[in-house]
Amino acid sequence: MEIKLNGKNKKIEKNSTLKDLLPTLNPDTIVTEVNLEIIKKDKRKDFILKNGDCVEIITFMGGG
Amino acid sequence: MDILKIGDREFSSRLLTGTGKFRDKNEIKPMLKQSGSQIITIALRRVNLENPQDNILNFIPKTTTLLPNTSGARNAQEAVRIAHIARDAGCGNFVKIEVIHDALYLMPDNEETIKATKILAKDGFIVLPYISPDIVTCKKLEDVGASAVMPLGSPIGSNAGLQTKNLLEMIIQNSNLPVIIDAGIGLPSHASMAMEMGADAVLINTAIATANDPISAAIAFSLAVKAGRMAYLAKLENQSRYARASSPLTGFLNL
Repeated sequence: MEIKLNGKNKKIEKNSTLKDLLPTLNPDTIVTEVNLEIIKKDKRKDFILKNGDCVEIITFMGGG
Repeated sequence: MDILKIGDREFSSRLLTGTGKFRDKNEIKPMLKQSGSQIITIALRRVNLENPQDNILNFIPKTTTLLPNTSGARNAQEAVRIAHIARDAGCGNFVKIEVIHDALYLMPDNEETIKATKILAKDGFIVLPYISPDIVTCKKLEDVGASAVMPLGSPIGSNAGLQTKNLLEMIIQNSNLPVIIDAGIGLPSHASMAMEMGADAVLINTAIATANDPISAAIAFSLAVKAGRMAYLAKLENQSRYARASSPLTGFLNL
């Protein structure tokens, strides 16, 4: 199945969780959003993605 | 003690700083310490999944008040969304509304900014909107629950100083909210001038971050802000076209 990850199409396994998408990222320094809804850190491992989900992985950067 | 109150928080420093454009993010911590700045802006962006960068929060002391901006938002709705993401991520309830779709001058959209301010103030945010300097907009922002107003001195990153001086003066003289001059301040003398005019604070990012020595630059701005504030509180006398003798004009020696 396919989701949109940070604006790009990405093929993933069925029943993948949100946490499966983030193997190399520090879970404490990112915010995750699925279909415009914020998914808290402790819910990521149980959050099963569906075909067509729009996932955003956001972090803080320098800005004025 | 001369305190700056924004929302329910009190600050002794009137210099707000930003985290953008630093060549070395490790300079942010000493910059804050040396300048005394207590509020710093940050931005939210998508993680670059191919090449994740360090989170900027790792470079900011926990005691600093974070002011996430909504840069990247092109309308009120997007600004509201970004503000919620920042608060959910544990950045506190301060937010700098920035709604921009003009790519050339990065001038903010005051109308959308008022809309976003209204929604976010109701949601319990301490809202600091970045605006084009317009007294009518400021009154509207006050009515919808803003906690401060942040009119611009000149375009973001331009270092051009207070090009909008007359408009800023109207706002400063009539605002019931703290007025923080944001954007365009490129020199300590610009910051001093803003404070002498009666601004409550200034926000400086580019001029500090892009200086050859950001830490010294931050100290210079901090001193300028203090000098300008002190001069304002001292109520210096106005300019005059004509001379006003500083020595007595009577009792001259008969030579």
